[in-house]
Amino acid sequence: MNDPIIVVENVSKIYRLGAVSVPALFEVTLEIASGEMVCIMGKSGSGKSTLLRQLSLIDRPSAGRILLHGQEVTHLAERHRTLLRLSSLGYVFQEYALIPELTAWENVFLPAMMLGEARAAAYRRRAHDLLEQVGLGERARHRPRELSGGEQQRVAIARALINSPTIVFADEPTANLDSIAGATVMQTLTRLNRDTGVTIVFVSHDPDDGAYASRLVHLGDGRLIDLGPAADTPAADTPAADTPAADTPAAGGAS
Amino acid sequence: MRLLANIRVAAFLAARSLIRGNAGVSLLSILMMAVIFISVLFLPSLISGAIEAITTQITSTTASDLLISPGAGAQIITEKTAYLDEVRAASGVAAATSTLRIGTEIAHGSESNAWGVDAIDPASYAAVFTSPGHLVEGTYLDPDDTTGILLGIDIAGADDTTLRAYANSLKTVHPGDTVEVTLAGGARAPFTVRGIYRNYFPLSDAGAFVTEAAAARLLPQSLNTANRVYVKAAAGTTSDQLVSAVTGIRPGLKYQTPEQLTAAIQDQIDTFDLINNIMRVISLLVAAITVFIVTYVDLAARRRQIGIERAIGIRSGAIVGSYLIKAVVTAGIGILLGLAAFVLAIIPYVAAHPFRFPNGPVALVFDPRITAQNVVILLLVALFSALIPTWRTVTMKILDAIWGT
Repeated sequence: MNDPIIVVENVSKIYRLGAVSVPALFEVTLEIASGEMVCIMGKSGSGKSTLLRQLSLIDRPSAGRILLHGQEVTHLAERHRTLLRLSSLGYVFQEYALIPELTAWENVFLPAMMLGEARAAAYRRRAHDLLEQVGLGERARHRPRELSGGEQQRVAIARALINSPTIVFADEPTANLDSIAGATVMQTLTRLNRDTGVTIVFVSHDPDDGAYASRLVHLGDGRLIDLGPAADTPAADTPAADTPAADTPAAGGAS
Repeated sequence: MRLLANIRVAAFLAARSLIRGNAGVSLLSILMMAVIFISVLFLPSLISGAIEAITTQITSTTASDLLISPGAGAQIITEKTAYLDEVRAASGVAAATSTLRIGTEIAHGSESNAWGVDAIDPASYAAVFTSPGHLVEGTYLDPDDTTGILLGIDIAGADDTTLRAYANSLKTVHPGDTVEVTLAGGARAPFTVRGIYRNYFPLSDAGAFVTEAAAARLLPQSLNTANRVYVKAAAGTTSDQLVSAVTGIRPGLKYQTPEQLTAAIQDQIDTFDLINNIMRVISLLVAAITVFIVTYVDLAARRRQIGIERAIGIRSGAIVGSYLIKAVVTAGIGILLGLAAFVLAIIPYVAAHPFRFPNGPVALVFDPRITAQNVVILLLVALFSALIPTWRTVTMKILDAIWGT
């Protein structure tokens, strides 16, 4: 297994709704190696999306700590977290979270603009290339409303990759798609993982999606119940139907 | 570099949102700002117009640019012909004329009242004052006319029952009618009404004028005397310059400029200013609330999008900047639209159809300084009104923004 790019130590999350406390995660500990394609699975309310948001720096845990690239990020100031999200992390939302007034190319290019003129100039071409990679080179000038759900999700994937992140997080990327569009999105993610070595962590409750992962992590009631086997190689771009990772017994990775 | 990137992204997002966003909302916001800007401009322009109307009426119908009267203790200016010639020759003087009070009461039938009757030289009077050009009935006085009289509408009445002064007027007098004037010595003399003028100014519409020839016939001792001398300034000459130019001609006279005369109505002007300031504050508040609501509603609809933008690394500064740019651009276009409508449509329309104020017709006066001041204030109001809800949205937790909690 490669060096861990994500380290989670005893992370708990409690949401406070007025006087009511709603526990969502209990002392989750896990490591994800560079280049892995990990699927966090679990039933609705199991805490899988909550865990993903802690890892992707969109939320802060109530307890425990998270290290990305060996750097403790749990208590980083928001502006540093913003910079990390911009430059090192990519995020794909469950719903096609594109800006409606921007074209597909502009949506992809937008995060690069935040890096300054020099990087932005270099990344103009890259935005086109990424759209080509996700099979939407011809749709670059279309706005989100002119794209199907699957196409929008692939634009979102291209956007997540524009700043050459080391980790891409995806929160149920196929939840709102039909099976064909969902399969296309998963194949896109798998191919990117395989071709570029980018670490991908995604959340799903669909075993079909889990089949694309190189490792499955199971959550139940906010607790880690199965870490799955660590994989040395990137995932294949077709589901491993004969040996689905979901069926593999837990092994290693937890501390 | 970070600031530049923020500005670039803010401008990019704002431009795309303005061009490709909800055109109806943008258009309504622009129209709202245009209407607000017109309302901000309208009242000051009207008040300026009212003040200018008073000043113009005073200078063109009652006091000219410089009113010269006998000094303390004196009743008349003697050798007035020679004095007028010298005044006319002074620097900055366009015209000069004089009046001599010869009558104190006018009667027609059973109606009578105490009105002053002044003897004038019709030609020089017309060169200084505009009343001769404002005839509503009849004709102006001929210099050799020794039996004719020119009446203001508030004296004649002219069967116009809508006149404010109708009840105290002679009510039914028209050109050709004969009125009786009680002269300074108490004698009465008949005069035939030649014309009736109307300046729409109470201070001058109660005037009555006969010729100096008539005064010489009835009061020979009044020849070559005057109670008042009126001076019209040449273009570009101020009243103070006029005073300086004529003071040395004859010592002991009293000089009054329009500024000194309008000081008497300063209370009115101050009240207008107070109303104006109140209305301006109300208009700016309406503008602020409008921008706030538009931005707030826009943000409420886009809160999730903003959360997502922050989640993918778009800095808060860029997001706030995009909304501020949108607000300022929308306000700016609205202001330009309002300004164009005001200058190109409303001002010309009111000039053609002036408001009828008690002191005369009032048009709108465009003041570039006040307009520029209002533009800056309105843009700042738009900026701060957009800043408050935007700042609140970008400082909430990302998840709260995305979930709308």
